[in-house]
Amino acid sequence: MIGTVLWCLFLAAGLTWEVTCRTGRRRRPGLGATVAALSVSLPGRICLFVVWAFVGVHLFTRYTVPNGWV
Amino acid sequence: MALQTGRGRRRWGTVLGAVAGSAVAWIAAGVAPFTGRAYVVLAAVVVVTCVWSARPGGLLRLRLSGARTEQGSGRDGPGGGRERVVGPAPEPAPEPDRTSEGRPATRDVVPWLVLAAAAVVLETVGLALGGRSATVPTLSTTVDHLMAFRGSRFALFLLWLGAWWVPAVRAERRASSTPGGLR
Repeated sequence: MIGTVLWCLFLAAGLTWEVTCRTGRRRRPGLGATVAALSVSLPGRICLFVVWAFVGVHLFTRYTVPNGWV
Repeated sequence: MALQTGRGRRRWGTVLGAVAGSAVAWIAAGVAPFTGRAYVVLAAVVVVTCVWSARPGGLLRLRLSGARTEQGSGRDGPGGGRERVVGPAPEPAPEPDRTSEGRPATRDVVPWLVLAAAAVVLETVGLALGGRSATVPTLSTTVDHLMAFRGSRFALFLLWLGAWWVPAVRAERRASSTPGGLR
């Protein structure tokens, strides 16, 4: 339970910071700009691709639905 | 005239891409996990994305390193978002929150790094407790609850597809309209 609450808090914190970055008086780099900085170099882009592919495989082929597959 | 044709082609490309992406997402959302079909569908998507991005002019072949990039007001997505290849131009005075390479200043990305580190710690604790602990579940176990419905699986799959394809296509289009943007 506490873990689920923490995950939700992390999500809320990320969203709040992203909104602050985009609407605050002093514009700060949001998540997009931060990831874009990673993608300037080829190794960075390859890392992003590997992470993207891993997330896809992990989420969509290996998930276990709590109450059985619908 | 030629410009209008190019814009029309891009618009149609965007529409076709959205339709194709939605179709793939709907098919993938209807496949049971841990089955051969699930692995085939995912592998096909990853391979097509890899081949598309590795082709000449694709995101993985763009020459972004060594060129200064601009990120409009710190907005937008990976692969560039609004990042623009402007070539090795003479360096103007850096903005207050940018380094001289046009990257975000370290202090400005600290909140994201802290958040990422906290997520890694929580994920590690969740894995150490077996992955499906009721007290501290892993992120994927938490997300699994969304996977109970085909609609939410479809939405998540679209989100995942868009996370790579949208910024990649934007970056490719920007680079193709910038001399020297392609390798």
